[in-house]
Amino acid sequence: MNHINHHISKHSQDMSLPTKTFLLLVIVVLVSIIPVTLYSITASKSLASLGTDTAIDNALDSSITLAVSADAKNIATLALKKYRQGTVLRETIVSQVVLFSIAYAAILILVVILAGYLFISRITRPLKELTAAARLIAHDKLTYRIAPVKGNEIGTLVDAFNTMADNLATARQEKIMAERRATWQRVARIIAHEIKNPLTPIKLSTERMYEKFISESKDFPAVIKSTTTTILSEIANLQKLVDSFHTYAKFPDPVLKQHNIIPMITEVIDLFKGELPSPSLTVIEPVPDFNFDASQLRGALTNLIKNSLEAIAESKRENGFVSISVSSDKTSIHISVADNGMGITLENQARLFQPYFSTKKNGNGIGLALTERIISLHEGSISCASTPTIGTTFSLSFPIKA
Amino acid sequence: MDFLAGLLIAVKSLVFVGGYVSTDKSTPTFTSVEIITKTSQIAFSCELEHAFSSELAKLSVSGTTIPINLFAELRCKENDSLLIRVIVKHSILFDLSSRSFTLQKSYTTREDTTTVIDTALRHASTFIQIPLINRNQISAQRSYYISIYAILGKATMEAMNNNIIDLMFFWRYKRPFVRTQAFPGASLAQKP
Repeated sequence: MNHINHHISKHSQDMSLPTKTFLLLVIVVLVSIIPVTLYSITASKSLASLGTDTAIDNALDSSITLAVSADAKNIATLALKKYRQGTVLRETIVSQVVLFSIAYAAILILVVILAGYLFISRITRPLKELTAAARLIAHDKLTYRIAPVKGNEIGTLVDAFNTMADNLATARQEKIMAERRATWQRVARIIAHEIKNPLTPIKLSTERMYEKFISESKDFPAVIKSTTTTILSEIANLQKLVDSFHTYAKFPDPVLKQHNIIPMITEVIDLFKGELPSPSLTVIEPVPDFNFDASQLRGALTNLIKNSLEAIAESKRENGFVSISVSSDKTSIHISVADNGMGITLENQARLFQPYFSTKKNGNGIGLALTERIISLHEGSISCASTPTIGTTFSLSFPIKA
Repeated sequence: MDFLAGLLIAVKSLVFVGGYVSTDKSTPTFTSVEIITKTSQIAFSCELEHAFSSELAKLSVSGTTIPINLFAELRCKENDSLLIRVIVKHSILFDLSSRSFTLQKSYTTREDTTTVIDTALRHASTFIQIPLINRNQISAQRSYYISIYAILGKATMEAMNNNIIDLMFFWRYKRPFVRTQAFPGASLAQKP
């Protein structure tokens, strides 16, 4: 019994407000109309049997036979005729009343339920809209607004909701702007630093070359050769910096096509066949097709695997591994790239996807920033979990869209 | 979904309440129609089943005259044109003093009398050899069909201050109807 009560209670908790209200209305209508209808039917049937007695019929019948005159006979005949007609008509009228009661109750129940349904829908529609709008806002659709409702409490609630959404959108915009400003400041600082680095040797080489030229030094040709080499090398570094900046800034939008990702991942793994360790792939089927730019994702995955191999090489581990696994659920495709390399400190993890941030000696800090950008352009997400000296796992998720 | 569930509950409750009431209103129907070819005439016979529900039978023994009107039409199948319409009337009257039924038929002056209610009601709802049309009016090149329907007349109710009521109520205001298969005129037309 307790179990049943618990079950009913759980079901009623799961029910929406309109469903609860509607069921309550149905119960009230049925409870109020059905007993009245049943009572009226029973009462009508009892009424039909009132005054119906074969003894009366027999007595009237006998009175025709016993009548002493023609007038008396006519009167008795008419009486019996009226009595018998009355019996039939009473039953007929009662059955009509009963049918009318049923039809009336039926129409009343249907009309009340229909009207109740429309009324409840009308009341709860704004609440449903509010719920849907709140869900959209929660899913970052900050531009969504509910059509204003004039007057009443729902109207006030809608106004408050729209104001809240406005504030949220403004705050989000300000946050984005602040982040963008901070990013550009940081990028400017890094670029200034990166430009400053080659400028010093260029300046020193030029000064040395000038001094040798003024003093008409004998080793001037040798100095020219060495300083020119230094200057050209630093100019090449500067060119490389400008190129990487250009690549990041001018990254194209992906050309999305419906593919299966497994063949592309296999191709990328094949590129690293000669490397130690050789990356391994685990696929948990089914992995449905989804829309992606194969060329861009190939680049992103290549970069992650390359980073893993470099991290293992840096750790000088002999039994290193790079493991790629692919799985899916109803809404997303999940890819992870795990290694047991050097790992990344918590501080560096926070800046991992920032452009021009690198912990490598010859890194330009573009690889992971570009990878993150590619994943974002696919409306996917990338996250990193790492423990220094133990290893790192990059987790990628892409939405499956029809 | 909620609305459908509510509607289902409502309909179920109506079925429940509806089952509480029982009314005796059997539906009258025609049995087979027989076409009879006479020397110069074509006639037909037919019978109405369930013409008298128990309520109507009770009303008949009150001495109330129960009239049954039969409408028969002979039509040409090709263009659905009406050749002839025949209306006949049977009236059943119970004499309370003699306790006997008298059956009057509009197409004959003869009156049948019986004291057995079943016989009286059966005779009232059986139409035998009703003259329809002269054979010389039938074209051998055409096809024909007969459609028949019946209605109950009105009756004066002395118990209701002599109000007149439509007895079709006892047939739920539905006319019994029958239509024969089309038959070739050649089978009925008079040979020259």
